[in-house]
Amino acid sequence: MSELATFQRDFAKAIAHGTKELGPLTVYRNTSLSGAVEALGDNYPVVRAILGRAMFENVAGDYALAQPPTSPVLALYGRRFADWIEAKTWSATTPYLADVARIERLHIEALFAADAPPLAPDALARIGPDAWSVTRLHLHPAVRFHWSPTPAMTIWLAHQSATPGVIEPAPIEPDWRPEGALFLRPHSTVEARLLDAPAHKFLTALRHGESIGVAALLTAELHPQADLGGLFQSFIQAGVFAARPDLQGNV
Amino acid sequence: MPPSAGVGFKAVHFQDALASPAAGLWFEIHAENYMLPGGPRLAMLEELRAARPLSLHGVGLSLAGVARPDAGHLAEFKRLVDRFEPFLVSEHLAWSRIDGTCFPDLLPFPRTTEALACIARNIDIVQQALGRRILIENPAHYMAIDGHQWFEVDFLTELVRRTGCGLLVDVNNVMVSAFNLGFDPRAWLARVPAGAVGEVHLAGYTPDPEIRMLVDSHAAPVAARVWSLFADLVARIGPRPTLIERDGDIPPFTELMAERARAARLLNSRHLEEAHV
Repeated sequence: MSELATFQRDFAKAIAHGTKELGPLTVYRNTSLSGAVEALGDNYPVVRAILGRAMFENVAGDYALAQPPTSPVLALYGRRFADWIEAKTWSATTPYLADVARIERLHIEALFAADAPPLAPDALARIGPDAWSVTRLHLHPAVRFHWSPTPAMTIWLAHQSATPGVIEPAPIEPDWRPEGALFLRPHSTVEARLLDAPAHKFLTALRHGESIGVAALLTAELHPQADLGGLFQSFIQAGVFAARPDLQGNV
Repeated sequence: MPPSAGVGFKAVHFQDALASPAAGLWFEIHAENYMLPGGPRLAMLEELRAARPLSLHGVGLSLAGVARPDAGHLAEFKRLVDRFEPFLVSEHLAWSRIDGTCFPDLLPFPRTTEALACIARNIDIVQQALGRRILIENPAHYMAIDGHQWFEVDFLTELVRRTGCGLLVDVNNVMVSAFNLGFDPRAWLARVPAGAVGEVHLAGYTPDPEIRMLVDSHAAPVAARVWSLFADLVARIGPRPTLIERDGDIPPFTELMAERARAARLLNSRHLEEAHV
């Protein structure tokens, strides 16, 4: 192995596992670690607000040592943060925390996803009754949704302020029941919504590539009371689907 | 247009940046912050670029790494260069990636002839991929490392000779390194080949009393000593595009612009002097 490679491997080891004694190496160690911790804080601001800054920095520091960045692009750093939190014994008293982290992950994925025009609200206007069972729609690339066993989305929503990206402290006192979360960004800003069980089932079937008609049937089997027509219209209005040029007005 | 002064772009300053009437103002961004599939951050950059020239400053190519530049990362870099057409593209004489792990930092290495060959190869790869010259910046140093075969400026000069790259002289990094490692910053700057310098960085440092070092924090205004080194450098090599960098403890836009105006005045007076000769 080359001298340069040997030097760099030893140096990497020293800053990843080095002692906390003061010295020049601590500058490199601290800069590296604080870069990763800051990125995690940017990506998981509600988890930081819930834990408090000092506790978050400890937790994020441990994560950064265990799962260091594998890319210099830190905007999406922390993919495993939620699973990692869940596996820690200290999180047993706050079972919603890992779910909130999962919600925050969906949020930044929606924020940074590819741009694309949404399906126009009138794109399906001329679809005949027979076509529903063969018409498939792609979800818009910024759509992210998820079902949580805890009211993590209610907690996440409570921490949002009027200014996007600015987190406000909020008491954690939701109704303790499962719920779904939906993020979408049909244009420039991310929209966040709660999902109920029928909406989640419907979207899941569509994501799996079912036609609109089959997705509706599958949802109706589980949730016979659901207003599927209204639900589908609300998806269209919200911009859940990606534009399909072939459907614009000439089906 | 004579070389002018720019400011490191911060999203919190977006509206002020667009509204600024300052002549010759340009902005520098960290490439890695914009390596994203889409979204409002890139849309903001489009708007900024429509209003002002941009300089693209990479922090993650790990040019001094033993491995070749990561192909995926380099492709992302090229996408940004193609989309935003920056007037300057720069990276660091440092490494930040090894065996699949990335360190969000600019790490040091012994400046050996072996390292020189490796870095020259990496700069070649990047310049080939981007289809343009890049500038290489001297990082801040905190640690005396055994085994240097080259003085830093000579090492950079040799990279210029071998690859045709240019230099980005960070005056604050020279100042910080000189203090931490105990050398004369004037002697360092005096050796820089004038023709190779394509850009200058100015920033603030933070003293760390516990380890008795200066840290290149970018979290303070440019220090008086750095202004003085900068004035001497400009007097010797002539005006170059000069950036005010600020990454921590971000002040209002007007404060950064006041520092930027000071740099611009220095560049202008030097430019006028040259025009008179």
